[in-house]
Amino acid sequence: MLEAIGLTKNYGEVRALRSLDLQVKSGEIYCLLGANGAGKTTALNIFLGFVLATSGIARIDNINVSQDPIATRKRIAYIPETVTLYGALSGLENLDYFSKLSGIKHSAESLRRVLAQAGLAVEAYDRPLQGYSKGMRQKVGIAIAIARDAKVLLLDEPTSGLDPKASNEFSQLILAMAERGSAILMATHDLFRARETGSRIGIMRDGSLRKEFVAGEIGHRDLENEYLETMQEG
Amino acid sequence: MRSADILLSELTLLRREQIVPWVLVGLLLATIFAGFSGRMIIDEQRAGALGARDEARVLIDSLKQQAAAGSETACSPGAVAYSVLSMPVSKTATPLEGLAIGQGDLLPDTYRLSARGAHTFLGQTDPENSLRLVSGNFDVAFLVVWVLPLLVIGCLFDVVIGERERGVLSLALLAGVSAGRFIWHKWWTRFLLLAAVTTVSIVLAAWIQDPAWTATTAYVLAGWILTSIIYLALWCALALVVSTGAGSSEAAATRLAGAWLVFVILFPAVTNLIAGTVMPPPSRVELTATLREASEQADKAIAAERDRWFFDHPDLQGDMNRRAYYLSVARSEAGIEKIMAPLLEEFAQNARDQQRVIEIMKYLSPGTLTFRSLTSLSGSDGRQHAHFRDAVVAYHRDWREFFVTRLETDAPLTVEDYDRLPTFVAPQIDGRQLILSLSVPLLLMLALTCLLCLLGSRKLRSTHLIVGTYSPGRG
Amino acid sequence: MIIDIATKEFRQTMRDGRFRLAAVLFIMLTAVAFVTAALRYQSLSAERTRAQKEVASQWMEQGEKNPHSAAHYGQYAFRPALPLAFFDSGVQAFEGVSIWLEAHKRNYAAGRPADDMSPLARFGEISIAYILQVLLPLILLLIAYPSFAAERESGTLRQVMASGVTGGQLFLGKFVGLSASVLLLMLPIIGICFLVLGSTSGATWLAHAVFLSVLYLWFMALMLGLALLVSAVASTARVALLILLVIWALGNFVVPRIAADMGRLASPTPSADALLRAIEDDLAAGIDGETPAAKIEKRRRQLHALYKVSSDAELPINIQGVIFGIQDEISDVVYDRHFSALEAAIDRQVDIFETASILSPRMAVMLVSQEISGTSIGHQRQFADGAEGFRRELMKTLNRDITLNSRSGDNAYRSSAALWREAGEYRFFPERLGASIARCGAPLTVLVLWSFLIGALAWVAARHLGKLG
Repeated sequence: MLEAIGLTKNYGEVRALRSLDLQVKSGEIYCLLGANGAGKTTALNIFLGFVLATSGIARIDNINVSQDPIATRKRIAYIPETVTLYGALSGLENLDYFSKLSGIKHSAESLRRVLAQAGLAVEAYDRPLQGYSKGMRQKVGIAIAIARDAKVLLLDEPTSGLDPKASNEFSQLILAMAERGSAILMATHDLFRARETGSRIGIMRDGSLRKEFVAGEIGHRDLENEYLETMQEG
Repeated sequence: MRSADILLSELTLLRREQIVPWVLVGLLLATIFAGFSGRMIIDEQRAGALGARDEARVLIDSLKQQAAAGSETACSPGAVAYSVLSMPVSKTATPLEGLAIGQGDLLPDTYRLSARGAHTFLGQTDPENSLRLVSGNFDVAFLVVWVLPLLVIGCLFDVVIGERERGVLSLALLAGVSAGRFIWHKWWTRFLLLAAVTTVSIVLAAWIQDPAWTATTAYVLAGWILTSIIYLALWCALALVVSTGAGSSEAAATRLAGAWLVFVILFPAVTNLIAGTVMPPPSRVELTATLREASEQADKAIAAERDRWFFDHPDLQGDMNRRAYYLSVARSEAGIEKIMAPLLEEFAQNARDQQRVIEIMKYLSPGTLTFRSLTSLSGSDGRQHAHFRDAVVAYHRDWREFFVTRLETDAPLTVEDYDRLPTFVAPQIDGRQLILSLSVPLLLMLALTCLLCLLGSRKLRSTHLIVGTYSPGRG
Repeated sequence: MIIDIATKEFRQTMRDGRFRLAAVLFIMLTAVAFVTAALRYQSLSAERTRAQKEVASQWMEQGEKNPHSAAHYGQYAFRPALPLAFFDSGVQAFEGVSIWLEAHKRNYAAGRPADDMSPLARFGEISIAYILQVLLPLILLLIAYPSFAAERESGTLRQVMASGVTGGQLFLGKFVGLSASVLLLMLPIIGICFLVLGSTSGATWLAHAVFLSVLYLWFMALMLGLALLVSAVASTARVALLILLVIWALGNFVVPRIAADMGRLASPTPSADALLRAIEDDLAAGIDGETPAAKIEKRRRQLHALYKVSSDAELPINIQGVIFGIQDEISDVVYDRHFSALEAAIDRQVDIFETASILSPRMAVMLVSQEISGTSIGHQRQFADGAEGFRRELMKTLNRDITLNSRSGDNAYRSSAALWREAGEYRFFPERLGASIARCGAPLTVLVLWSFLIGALAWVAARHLGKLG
C-alpha cells in the first residue's frame, strides 16, 4: 500500500532523510517515532507529494508519488497536527467540502453517519467550526478520512494537545480504520499511544530509521528505553 | 531592564527589519521630489507674474514718453483705459506655498485688469491639463495627509498584537518589565523616528523652496512642522489603541486601513459633497447668458447709433469723436457692471459660505483638519485668494475711477498722471496670525491624541492583553 | 470540482463579517453617489439645454444689426451634460462649459465648475466610477488576501492539496467563488445604471454602457487575480495584506499624482497671459511672411484690378467684408498654430500619464472610462473643435453677406433675421463610440498586458501551491 525505497531528501547541506526504507501494508498501523528534526514530517511530505525526494522512490498503491502526485493524493487521507479547516463553515459543511474535493459526493444523511462514526457530538454538526475544541476538530479530520474511504492514512502528531480521553477515542477510531483495510502511517512523539495503537514501530534519528519493532513484542518500558538509547547514540 | 536598553533593542530590531529603514528613506526622497515639484510650479507662476509686471512697466513708460510728445492715443484716457493698457496685479507670494499647492493651480495668482467691467478679468484662468487637475498634486501636503498615516500603519499596526502573537509580551512580563513600559518604549521609538524623518523632510522641502528667511517664513515653517507632528502623533496613538484591542495583527491592519479610508478619503469627499449640496454654487452658465443679455441691452440703450463692432475697430468709427466714443463705452461698461456685479458677488458669497461649512465639518476628520491647516499656512486654501480677489475688485474701482474722471472732464492724460497711476497693494500675510488661527484645530488634535494614548494605556494594563480573549478552539 | 470550491468560497465570504460590513458601507456610498450624481446630471443637463436655447433665441431675435456687429455679438456653445456623465464625471469639473464664438478670436472654454467648488474637491469626488475604481478593489483585496496565505499558515491548504485537487483547480475555484461575491455588489449597480440610462436617453448610449460594464468587470477580474496571486505567494496573510494595501495605495493615489506632476514638468503649458501675448504678436506679424496690412493692400489691388476700378467706393462689393475675411483667415491660422501647440503640450502630459498607467491598471481604467462616458479631454476637444468649426462657418456667412449685399463705406448697412437664420445656431453632435475607443489604444493595451502578466504569474503560482521545497 505504502512504500519507501531508499528515500533521501537533502536541503542543501542538510540531509533531512537518508535512504529510508519503509513498507506499510493494508491493515497495518506503522508508528514513526523520533525527535523534532528526525525526518518524520519530511517523509510524510514526500508521500503527500508536497516535497520532491532527492533520490529514492515513494509509492502509494504502487503508484510512484513523484510521477503522479495527484493520483496518489486521491488515495490518501491526511490528518495534520492541528486540524484548522474553515471556521466559518460547520463541521458538516467542512466534511461535505473535503469529500467533494476528493471527488466523492455523499448525501447529507451519509455525512451525518460519518460524523457519528468519528465520534462528534450531534449538536456540533451544524455549528461553525471556529467554536470547536481541538478534539472536536480532530474528529472532523478523522471524519474526512473516513468519508474519503482512503486506503492510505497519513497522520502527523495527531494526538498532540489532546486530553487522554480524546486521545483514546482517537486511537479506537484509527484501529477501526486499520481493521477496514487502511494502511496507516503515523508520525508521533507519543510513545504510549504508539505502543497501544501501532502494529509496527520505527524510531528515526537524523533522517534514518534506526530501529524497528513489532508493537506487540515490546513493552512500554522497553520501548521507552530503546527510544532514549537511540536518541543518545552518537 | 533599563529604558535605554529597550530603546536600543527596538532600534536594532527596526534596522534589521529592512523594510522600515527603506520606508523612511522613501519618505525623505519623496518629500524632496514633492518639494522640487512644488517649487517649479510656484516659480513658473511667479515668473509669469514678474514678466507681466515688467511688461506693464515698459508699456507705461512708453506711454509716458508718448504723452510727453503729445501723442493723441497716449493722452486719451479712454483709449488708454479701454484699448491700450491692462494692468497686471498679483497676490503676495506666501513663503513655502510650494509645499501645499491646494487651490493654487486653479485660482489665478495674477489678474490683468482694464477699465472694463470686473467680469472681464475675474473669470480668467490658465489653460491646463484637466487630467492633471483631476489627479491632484504630488506636494508635501499630500505626503503628510495621505501617505504619512499609511507609513504609521505599516510601522505600528502590530506594536502590541504582534508582540503577543510572537509570544514576546509574556516573556517581557516574566523579565519584570510592565506591559505598558515595554510597549510605550516601542511606541516612542517608532514615533520619534517617524517624527524625526518627517521634520527633516519638511525642513529640506522648505529649504528647496528657497524662501526669504523672514519671521513670517519661520512662523509658517514652525506651523508646518507642528501640524505634521501632531497629525503623525494622532495616527500613532490610534495605531496603538487598535493594536491593543485587535484579535490578530491582520485585524489591526485592516481596521487601521479602514480608519485611513474613512478619515482621509471618504470624510473629506463627503464634506465636499455636503458643502456643494448645502451651498450649491450659482450657475456659470446662467451668468454667461445674463452677461450676454446685459451687454446687448447696454449697447442698445447707450449707443443706438453705434454698432458694437466699433469697439474692436476704433479705426472704423468714422466721424465719431474719440472722446464721445469712449464715453459711450464707459457708460456701456457701467451699465453692464451694474447688472453683473451682484451676480459676481453671489459667487464670492457662495465661496465664503462653502468655506464656512468646511470650517465646521473639518473637525470630523483629522485628514481634512490637517489639509486645511497646511494649505492655510501655504496660502492655498482659497481664503487668502478671496482676500486678494476682494482687494483686486477694490483696486479695479480706483483704477477705473482714475480714467473715467479724466474722460468725463475731458482732461487729457499727462506725464504726471502716469506717475500717479493707482498702485495695487496686495494683502499681506501675518505669519503670527496664521499660527494663532491654527491653535484651536491643533490643540483639538493634540487633545484627541492624548485621549487615545490614555485609552491605550488603560488597555495595556488589562490582562486580556497577554492571553487574548477566550477561544474554545485553543483547547 | 471548481464549482465545489467556488461554492465553498462564496458561502464563506457571505458569512464573513468583514464582507457584510463592507457591503453595507459600499451600498450606502453607492446610493449616495447615485442620487447626487443623478440629481446633478439632471440639473446640469436642463440648465445647459435651457442656456443653449436661450442664446440661440438671443441670436435669432437680435433684431436688425450690421452683420459684423452680430459677428462680435457672436453665439455661445455650451457643452451639454452627456448621459453617462452621471456615472463618471471624468475631467468635466476642470474644463470650461461654454465657448464664446465671436469674430476674429478663438476663445477657449470658460466657466470651469471646479473654480466654484470647495477646496476639498481636490480630495476626489465620490462618483460611481470612483467607487468602482478605488473602493470596490479595496473590498476585494480585504476579502481575498487570506485566501491562500491564511490557509497556508493554518495548515488547511495542506489538507486541501492532500485531497488531490490541483493548484490550478483551487486557484480557479477561489477566483470564481470570490468573483460571485463581488458580482453580487457590482451587478445591481450596473443594472441600475442601465435602467437610469435607458430612461434618460433610450438606446443611444447603450453600446457605451455595455462597453463600460465589460471594462469594469475586466478590471475587477484583474484586481481579484492580483489579490489571489499575492495571497498565493506571500509567506503569511499579514504580508499579503500589507503588500496589497501598498499596491492599492500606490496605484490609486501616488502614481497618478507623480505621473501628472512629471507630465507638467516635462511639458509645461503656457499661462493665459503668455498665450495671449504670443497670439497678439503673431496676429500683428501676419502669416506667410506678410503683415495683415500688406495682405489687405494686396487683396485691395487685386480687386481693383479685377473690377477695373481705382477706389473702394467704385467696387461692386463691400471691401470691408473682404477685409474681415482676411483678418479671420490670419487669426484662424495664428490661433490654430497656438492652440495646436497648447494641445500638443497637453497631449505630451497625457502620454506620460498613459505610460505611467503601466504601474497602475486603475489609471488605465480611469482613462478608458472617461473616454467612453464622454467626459475625457478628448471629448472636450471634440466639443471645442466642433464649436470652432461652426464659428468659422458663421463668420464666413456674415462676411459674405457684408461683401455681397453692401458697398464700401456703407456703415449703415443692416441685416436681419433672415441672415441670422441662414447662419444657423450652434448644435452639439456627440462623437461615435468608435472614435472614443480609438483614443483608448494605449490604456487598453496596458490592461491586456496586465491580464497576461497576472494570468502568467497566477499559473506559475498555482503550480507551486502543492509544493513546499
